[in-house]
Amino acid sequence: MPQAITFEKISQTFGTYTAVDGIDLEIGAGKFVSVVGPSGCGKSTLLNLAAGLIAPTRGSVSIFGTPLNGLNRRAAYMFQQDALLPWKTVLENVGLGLRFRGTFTEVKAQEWVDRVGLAAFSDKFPSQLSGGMRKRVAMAQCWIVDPDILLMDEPFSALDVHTRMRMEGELLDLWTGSPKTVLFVTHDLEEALSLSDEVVVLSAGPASHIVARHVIDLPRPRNLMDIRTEPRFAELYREIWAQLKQEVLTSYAR
Amino acid sequence: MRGKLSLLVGQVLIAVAFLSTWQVLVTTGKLDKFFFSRPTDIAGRIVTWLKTGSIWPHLFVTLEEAALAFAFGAGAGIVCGFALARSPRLGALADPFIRVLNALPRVVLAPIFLLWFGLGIWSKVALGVTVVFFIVFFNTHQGVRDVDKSVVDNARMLGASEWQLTRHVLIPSALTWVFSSLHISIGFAVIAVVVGEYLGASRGVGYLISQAEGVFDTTGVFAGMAVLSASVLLVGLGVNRLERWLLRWKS
Repeated sequence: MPQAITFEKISQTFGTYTAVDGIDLEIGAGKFVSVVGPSGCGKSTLLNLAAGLIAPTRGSVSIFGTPLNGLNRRAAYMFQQDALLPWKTVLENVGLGLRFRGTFTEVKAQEWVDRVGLAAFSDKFPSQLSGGMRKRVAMAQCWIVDPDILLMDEPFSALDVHTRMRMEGELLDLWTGSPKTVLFVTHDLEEALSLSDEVVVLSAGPASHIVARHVIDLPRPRNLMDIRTEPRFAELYREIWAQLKQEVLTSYAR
Repeated sequence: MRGKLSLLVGQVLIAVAFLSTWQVLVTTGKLDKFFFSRPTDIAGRIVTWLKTGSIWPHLFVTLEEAALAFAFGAGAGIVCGFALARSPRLGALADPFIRVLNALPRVVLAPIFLLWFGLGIWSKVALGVTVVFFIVFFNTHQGVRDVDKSVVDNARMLGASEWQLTRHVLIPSALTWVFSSLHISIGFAVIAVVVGEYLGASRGVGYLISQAEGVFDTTGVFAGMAVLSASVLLVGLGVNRLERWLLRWKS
C-alpha cells in the first residue's frame, strides 16, 4: 500500500517559535487518520504543510511518493473557519473548484448541492444559511473536485453536538467506499475515535512531537449514534485519553 | 405601519412649522427679506426655473461633472488601492505621499485646476476626482487586505490561479467596501464640483448660486440650494437601491 502523505523529519518554526519538531509520519492511501492534541500543539501546521500552504523549515513532505513543492494539487482542504465566498450563491460556491478548472457546469454543481441536501437552498447566499448548512457547502466544495486527499481542520468544531454528529455521519458516508485519504485534525478525542482508522497523539507545544499512534480497530460501517457506548470504544478512549490528558495538563502548565 | 404614518405626520408638521415661521417672520418684518428671502418666493423661483426650463442645463452640467468625477476617481482609486494592497513594498513606498496628498484640503486645488483645465467642466471634474479618489482608494485598499486568510487559502486550494483569485475573491471583496462607501463618495463628488463651479464657471448649479449671490439675490441662492439638495436626495435614493441589490448577499 503506497503512502498518501509522508512527513519526513519535519520541523517548522515561525520566527523564534518552534511549532512542531522532528515529525515522522506516514498516512496510508485510503485511510482515515486523525491527529489529536492540546490547543496550540501544531496540528494545523501539519495540515498546512500537507496542503503546501507553507513549506517546512526542515524535512520534507511527499505526496504519493513525490516530494511536495508548492501547493498540493491532489488535496482539498476544509477549514475550521468559514471559507465560503459570501457574495456567491450556494451553487456557485459548491462549483467554485470546477469554475477554477474551467469545467463548471450548473448540472454538475447542482448534483453536489443535492447530494449534501441543500437542493432548496441553491440560490441562497452563505449568510442566509445555518452553520451546519455552511459546513455542508464547504464539504461539497471539497468533494466536487474529486481530490485524492482531504485535509480537514476541526471542520465541525463550531457546530452544536447534534449537528456535529450528523455532519460526521455524512462525512463517513461520503468517504466509505471512496479511495480517498483523510487527514483529520481535532481536539475532540471522541470525534477522532469514532471516525478514524488511526489516531495520532501530538504532544503539547511548542516543539510538538508524536507521542503515540493508535490503530482504531472498531468495525465499519460505524453507527455514530451508538458507537460511543460500545465497550471497545470505551477501552480505546481510556487508553488514548491517558496520554492526551498528560499533554493537555502540560499545555495548561505552560 | 401606524408608527410609520405618525412619524411621517410629525416630520411634515415640523417642516410646515419651520417654513411658516420663516414666512411669517419675514412678512412681518422681523427678519430682513433682503437677507432671508421667503419660502413662497423661493418656491416661486423654482417653479419659474422649471417652467422656463432654464434650470436643466445647469443641473445637467453639475450632475455630469459629478458623474465623471466619480467614474474617474473611483476607477483610479480601485486600481491604485489594489496595486498598493497587493504589493506591500509598493504600498510602503507610496504611503507618505498618499498621506501628504490626502492631508491637503482639496478646495485649495480649485484655483490651480482652473488655470490648468479652464472654466469648463474639466476643472470641476478634476477637483471631484481628487476627493473621490482617496475615499475609494482607502476602501479598496482595506477591502483587499481585509479578505480572510482562510478564504484566500480555500480558493487557492480549490485551484484558483493568481488571476482567478483576483477576479473571484479580491476584487469582489474590495468592491464590497467601495459599494458601502458609495453614498459618501457620490455626496463628496457633488460637493467638490459645486465648490468648483462656485469658484469659477460658466454653467452649473454652483455657478447659478454664485451669480445670484453676486447680485444679492438671496431668493436665487436659496432656490439653487433647494434644487441641489433635492437632486442629491434623488440620486441617493437610486444609490440606495443599487447598493441593496449589489450587496444583497449580506443579509
